[in-house]
Amino acid sequence: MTVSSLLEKRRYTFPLIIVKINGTLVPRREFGQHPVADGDRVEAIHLMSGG
Amino acid sequence: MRILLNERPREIPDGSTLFELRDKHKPGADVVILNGFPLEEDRILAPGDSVVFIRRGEIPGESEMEALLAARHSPGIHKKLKESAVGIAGLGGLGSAVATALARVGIGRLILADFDVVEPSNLNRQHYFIDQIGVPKVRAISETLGRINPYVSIETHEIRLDEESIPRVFAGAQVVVEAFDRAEAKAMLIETVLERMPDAFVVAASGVAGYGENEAIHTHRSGNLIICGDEKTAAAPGMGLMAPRVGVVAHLQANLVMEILLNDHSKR
Repeated sequence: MTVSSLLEKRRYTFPLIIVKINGTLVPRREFGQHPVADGDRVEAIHLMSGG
Repeated sequence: MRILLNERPREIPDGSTLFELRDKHKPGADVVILNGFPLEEDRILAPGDSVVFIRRGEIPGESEMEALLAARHSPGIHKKLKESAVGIAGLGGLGSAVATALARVGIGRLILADFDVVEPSNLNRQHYFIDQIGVPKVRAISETLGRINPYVSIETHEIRLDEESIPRVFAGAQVVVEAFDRAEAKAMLIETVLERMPDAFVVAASGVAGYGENEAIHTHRSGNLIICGDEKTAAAPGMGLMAPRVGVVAHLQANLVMEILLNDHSKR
């Protein structure tokens, strides 16, 4: 499973999301290839416009 | 006996009066404050009294301003803040408020970046004045910060930040505050700092629109990335950006910057 397929499965379709796996950033350009393994701690942080 | 004169401890003879002290230390002072209250008439001072003499219109020198801040914050904290460097990306509702708070506490070096000019619609939440409309935000905020504490070193960059310029502009900053408006820009800044400035912290904001719902506002910590806001409310028609809620989140961000600088947070 990749980050992209995980986000899709969880329906995290919001386009602006920061993903960390086990505390390390996964850049958006790597979502399609970066694997998610059993037991990984995945964080998905949504960014909303406004400031 | 020992009193505090303009926040600094000083020995004075027993029985000294307020006006004697004024005539000796600041002749011509037109405001005399004893223990927080402005006084018009003379009185005998007691041990532990705090006395402030002011000549209206006189700007304190750098060493006097330093002493005032050190007395307020304690010398150790003051020194640490004075030696700190903080970057602020974007000078809108979040960034202008964060910059103001950090200049007030005497952060030694502020690196401010924005490409925008002050527009009339900014005045509902951003720290600008009506006579600054049309002025680049970096210039307008520098003027304002200079009126708060002229001894803070302000470095400005009138620039639209991107992946290439961020590490260069914010080189040396221990913390970069993400204070952009658009979510795309927020994501770009966060990813760039985390990838290319591994020793720095990013303090970001997400979900600041609207009003009320204090309970929804929180702090989300993830290693070197810390996010303040409700993480759900995007700016949209009918869900505008307003001074109170944006200001709350901006000050949460500024407060986290203090924590990072003062608590020696270990690098990730």
